[in-house]
Amino acid sequence: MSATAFDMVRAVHRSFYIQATFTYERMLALGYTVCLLPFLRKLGASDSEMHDILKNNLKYFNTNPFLSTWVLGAEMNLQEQRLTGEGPRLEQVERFRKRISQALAGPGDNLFWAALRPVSVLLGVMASCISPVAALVTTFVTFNMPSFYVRLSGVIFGYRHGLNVVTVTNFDQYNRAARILVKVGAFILVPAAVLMKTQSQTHEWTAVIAVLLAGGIMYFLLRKGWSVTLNLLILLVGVALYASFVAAFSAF
Amino acid sequence: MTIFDNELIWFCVLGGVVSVDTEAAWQTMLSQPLIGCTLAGFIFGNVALGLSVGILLQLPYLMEVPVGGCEVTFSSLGALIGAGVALRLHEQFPEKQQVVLFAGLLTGIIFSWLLGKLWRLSLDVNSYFVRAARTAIDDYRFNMLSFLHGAGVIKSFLFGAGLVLVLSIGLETVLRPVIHSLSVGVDGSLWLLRPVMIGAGLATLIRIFVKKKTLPFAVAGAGLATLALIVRTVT
Repeated sequence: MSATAFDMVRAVHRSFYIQATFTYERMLALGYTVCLLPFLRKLGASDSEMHDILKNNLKYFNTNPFLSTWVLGAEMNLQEQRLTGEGPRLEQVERFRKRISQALAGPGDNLFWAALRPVSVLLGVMASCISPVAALVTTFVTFNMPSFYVRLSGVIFGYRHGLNVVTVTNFDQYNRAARILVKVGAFILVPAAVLMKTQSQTHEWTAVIAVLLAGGIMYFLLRKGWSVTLNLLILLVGVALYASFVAAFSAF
Repeated sequence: MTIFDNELIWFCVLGGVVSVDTEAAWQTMLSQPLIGCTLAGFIFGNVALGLSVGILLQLPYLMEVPVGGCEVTFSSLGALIGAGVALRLHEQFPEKQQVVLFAGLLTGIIFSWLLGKLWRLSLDVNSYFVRAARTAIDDYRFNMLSFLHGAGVIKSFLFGAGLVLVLSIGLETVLRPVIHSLSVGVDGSLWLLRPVMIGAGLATLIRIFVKKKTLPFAVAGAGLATLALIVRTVT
């Protein structure tokens, strides 16, 4: 085991930039390759070995960016074994990389994009009733603390267990965490709405009716599969028509 | 107010940061409209308006999940441009708050969609970087890989900063005479804007969070909120 804490922190740091050269053809392949580069250099890989490994890495790589460090850590372990003459062949590493990255993509997207992001935004909206700074800090901290922990723990566990990371770690824990977060979101939804209402300047019943009506239209159209952009434009056109009607009527 | 002022320069930097955080690096929520627009509010000295635009645009766009390279709108940068337009127009028309907010939200929504389409160009540049990386590996110039990857981050920053600069000035110039021509009476009749956008946001949150399995939690939360309201009214 030759990877130090510095190597792992460096890998995590580079993983923050993994999407910089995202393409539909190879997804995160170049970003992932760049994450691995310093460690391969440290292992003292020869030019031809580096050429083979990097070329192989550049083929295709896609997973959730936050969980990419699991794959990264495991590959650091495998490449270290390989370069000392004990590890699996390059094709086996490639197969492993493909499988684990596919296995992590779904749970990662579920947890971070579909569950954690809306929950931290909702908490931020609630905190905005205290102050704008509280909204910023709450949203930022509630999202980044878990995501940074996952990135850091991913590279450590991945490196420690190598090929066995799939057997010793239950990736379904991320789906479970996502389900819990959605429940938390459902629980705080109405309190957040009430907080927003108490903070708003208009207390007329017409405003409540407008919220319910617009919400009903939006919900119905979203269920029908209409895009968010189209829904919002329809609502804004409605507001503009109402405003011009009222303005014209009062002028008359 | 001159066209190029300190505020605008900081706003362009923020645009670059938001663009990088959205597509190239970090993914730290800095790019979310709630944070980005509020920071824009700090820059232009009107945090309340920045926060309003941020919340009103943030909630509906939570419906879009940027996974697997699927095509979504560029709501982070679009919302920031909308907030910039609203904030800059508010400095000139402080008496027309609702009209200015309407202009900001409308431009935010339209440019979220348009920039989503424009994002393909950015991906084409990335494809060029990846092709160059393959050539660099074949030529055993491995240091080039980090350089090319870094260029992806810089490209994203310049993309965001440039768009924010051009669109903020352009849209402000186009919208200024339009808003000037509107009477204050129109502003008053636009009071419906906030409730409608909050309704749209809440509908999105219900769509995300409330399902068969989570319904008991939503009901429990509603019960708690009702209890809190009763206690508040009594005391």
